[in-house]
Amino acid sequence: MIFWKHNNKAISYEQFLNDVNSKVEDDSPYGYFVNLISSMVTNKKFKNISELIKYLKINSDDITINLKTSGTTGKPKEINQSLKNTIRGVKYTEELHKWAFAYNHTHFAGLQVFFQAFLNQQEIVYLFDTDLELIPNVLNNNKITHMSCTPTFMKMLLPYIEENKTISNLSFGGEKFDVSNIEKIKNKFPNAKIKNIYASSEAGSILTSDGEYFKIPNKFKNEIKIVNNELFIHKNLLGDMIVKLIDDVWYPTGDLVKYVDNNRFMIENRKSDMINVGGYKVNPSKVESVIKDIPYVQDVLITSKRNSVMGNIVVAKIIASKKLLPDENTIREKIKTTDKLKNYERPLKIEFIDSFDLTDTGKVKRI
Amino acid sequence: MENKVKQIIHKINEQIDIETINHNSHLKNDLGLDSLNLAMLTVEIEDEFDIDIFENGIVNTFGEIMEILNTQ
Repeated sequence: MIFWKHNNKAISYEQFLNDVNSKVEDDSPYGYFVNLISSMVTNKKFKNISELIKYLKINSDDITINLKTSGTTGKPKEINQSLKNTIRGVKYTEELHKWAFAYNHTHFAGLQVFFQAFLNQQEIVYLFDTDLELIPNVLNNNKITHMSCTPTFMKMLLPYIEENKTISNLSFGGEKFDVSNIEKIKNKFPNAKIKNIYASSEAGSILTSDGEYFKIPNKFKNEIKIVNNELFIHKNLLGDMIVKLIDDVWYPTGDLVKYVDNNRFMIENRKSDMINVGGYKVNPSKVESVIKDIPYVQDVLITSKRNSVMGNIVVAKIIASKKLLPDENTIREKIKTTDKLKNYERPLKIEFIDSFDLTDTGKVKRI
Repeated sequence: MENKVKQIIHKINEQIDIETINHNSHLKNDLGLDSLNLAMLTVEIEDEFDIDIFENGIVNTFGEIMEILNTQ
């Protein structure tokens, strides 16, 4: 029984179990999941994969996963989430689904796909690093039935898809769903039921929608509420972590919603300043601190700009040192040579300004 | 206009020789631009010509960019 496929290499569930039992070190996405499961079962050995899965399910309350997130409040943080909370969204089935794995494996959304497939002993085909042009064939040849990805990933992939008839379930997570693409997606995936997922590292997968609209499910009607258009989650749904709670029970997600009727709403944007570049969260404060270290820069403000390719891009507004003429290429070169910023964190647009605009209260305007 | 777009592409990736860019050049396969490069291309072209070339979907070749710019 195949568990994992990547670049024409297939790994069986039996092999995965052997690797978990012997804690094989490996930097690949596959190795990441071997290590993850090994860390959950500590030194226990299992005869077969069903036994391992049964153990994880029974002990999900006591097993803790240590997640590192980009952080919705601006600072990277570590979250100790119980396995129970992490797999709350998993649906159990006897059907043999085949999953396309299209997230960065360390992302929370990637973890959700992993557990959905793994706990049902289904096949995963990892294609996050596969050339977009090759993906249509990978989907067809492997008869992929389920796929979850960010809306940006889909937008990039869509031109390469002629028509895919194998996928029956297509879900989107990780960033705001761009509604303008939904008709194109429906045309290219005629057999797919399309869902949008709202999940956070703090609470796991809590909301799903048909298309663009969300509804609070009955089972969570006492645990999710919307106040002044902001989504709040009850502490019962949160992992074991320190967060600022309102009235000791409610966690403000920072996600703003807009009601379309009495029950249904869409997620509009985040209250926080985090910039979503193609599904990656960029922390403006981090980028600012790196760029401020460049000698030519006196001060910098990092903002975002809508972009039709990546959703948003990072923009740097720089006040240059008076001693030197502002030069975009020099700044760009300096940013490139520092290894402190990942590709998606680097500003794609650099503007030189004389001073920052201020708000009425004297704070720097970020828009 | 064509030369300006070629210069923008060269600015994004200095290893691309302007002389080799023609209407059939595939942005990704021939010129080696990745998605962040393409995002930057939209920004630079929008700054110069006030047109978002990717607004209605993905553009694959240099010729397709020129077609969009010429029809606006």
